[in-house]
Amino acid sequence: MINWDAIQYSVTNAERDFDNLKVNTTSMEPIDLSEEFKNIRSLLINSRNKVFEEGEFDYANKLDYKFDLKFGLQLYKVLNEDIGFSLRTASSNDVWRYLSVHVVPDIVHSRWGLNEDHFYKSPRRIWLKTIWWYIHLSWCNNEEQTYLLLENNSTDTILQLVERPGIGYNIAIYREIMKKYSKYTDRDLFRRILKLNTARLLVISPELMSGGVTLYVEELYKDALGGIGDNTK
Amino acid sequence: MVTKNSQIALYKKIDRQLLEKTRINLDPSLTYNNGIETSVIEIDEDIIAINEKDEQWAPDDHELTVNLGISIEEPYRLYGRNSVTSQQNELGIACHIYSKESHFQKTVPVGIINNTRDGKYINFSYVFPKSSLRGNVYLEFYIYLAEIREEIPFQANKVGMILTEENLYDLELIIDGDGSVFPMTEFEEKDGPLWKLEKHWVDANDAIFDASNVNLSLNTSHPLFEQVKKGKTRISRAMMGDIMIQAMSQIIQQVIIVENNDIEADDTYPNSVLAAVKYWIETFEITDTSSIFSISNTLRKHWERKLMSGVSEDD
Repeated sequence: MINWDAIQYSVTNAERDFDNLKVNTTSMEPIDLSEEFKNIRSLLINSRNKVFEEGEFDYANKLDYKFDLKFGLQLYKVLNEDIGFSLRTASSNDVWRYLSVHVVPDIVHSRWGLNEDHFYKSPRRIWLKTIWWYIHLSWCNNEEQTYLLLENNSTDTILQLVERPGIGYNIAIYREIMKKYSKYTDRDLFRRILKLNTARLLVISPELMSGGVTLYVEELYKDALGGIGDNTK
Repeated sequence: MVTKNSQIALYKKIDRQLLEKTRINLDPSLTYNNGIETSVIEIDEDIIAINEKDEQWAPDDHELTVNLGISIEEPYRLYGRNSVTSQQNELGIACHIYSKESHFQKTVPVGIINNTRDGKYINFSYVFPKSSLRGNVYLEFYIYLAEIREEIPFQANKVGMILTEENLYDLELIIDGDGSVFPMTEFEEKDGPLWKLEKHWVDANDAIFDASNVNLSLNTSHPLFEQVKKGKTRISRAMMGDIMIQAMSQIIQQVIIVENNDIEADDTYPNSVLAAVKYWIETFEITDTSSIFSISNTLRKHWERKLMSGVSEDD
């Protein structure tokens, strides 16, 4: 078990290490890790390789949402309770900065180049953090079902869902929203639903309504679709 | 949850007067199992920094149970045509729990307040699993409409509607640290400046006031570092004070003047950058926030008073 709580990795530390990163043709350096993180790294690198092979990403010009989703599911699998990774850990920006800059900078680089926002600088844009939470908030029974639910979405869906935590994610509501959204492709609809949800949560507690969260989300869709017609996929 | 000032409720709510008549008493406490026995952390304030009360409790090692005993001596006062709901209906108490830093919010039912002339006692417990909390956690208890059988005009007509004008009870738990720290870190840069201030927030009301979003950083290789950081003399304290004033001035200027945020807004998130700015403006009585000069001059004036009080001549 890793003592994740011991990771104190400020923006300043991350910036210093990030500035020292060197990009070679096939690798990045320095990557100097303790034994326990060597293990995490090798699990993540293996997952990355598997995802590359399956998605034939070696031939892609640029990695996109498909990679976010496929690697996100692998990341979610590797960072689990068995290695002491908890919701408290997933809420630590220090941990995400450390993983991004120190443990797998090459994977982050393959997706975003040397864009510092996605490595450490902008807490809401740290890529590993956003894809982990995207999977967590959308999780539906198992990996396969979650994949099927999310396969037709886009990077914009991740951004909309994860970057606006409000006063905290209501997991049950988000999972229900995502389950229903798999039937639609309309980006504006998704945005409207999330906005409506944020506004309503200030005055309504879906858990207390008769019909509960399921009915609440049904009403969200009904009202957000209001008059525009059905945009079912 | 509280109805914001800007919202007008179109149905009758429980005001302070009615609440007093209903005679509700609350008995809150925190407990956890320390491996040998159940340990009790007393709640004597509405804001509890857990580790200040009990150094043993650790968010990764222990669960945390919030207990609230609620006795309602005259519940019938809440029922009837002249009160907030029909005698046929049912009222309940719920708790909204949220934490931006722990990334969650949820609402849990606490208990039902039956319409009776006898008193009612509800014993509520909520367990936070270990490794689930970070930062600050807020709990808000309120009364809601739990079941509806009869509708009366100007009374709440949907299950789940909130009926208390102000929350029955608010509790803030500080999980990490003491909650009052200005986010500061250190950096090492030979021949670099003594300090720097970095801003990483996008939306001041959405960003937690922590080192990820705003960071005052001191240079460990600067010749003045030791004196400023650990110095006990009057001049080193004045120097540190001046750094803080400059940092606060810049943050206030950015949030209020550049980003044009409204500190009067009802929905300021308690632990956000905007909330910190709001707190400084109120505490330091900065009445004129229209220019960086009035902001920093007011701050300096207050700081001077605070700094010089209690300092002996030997400093």
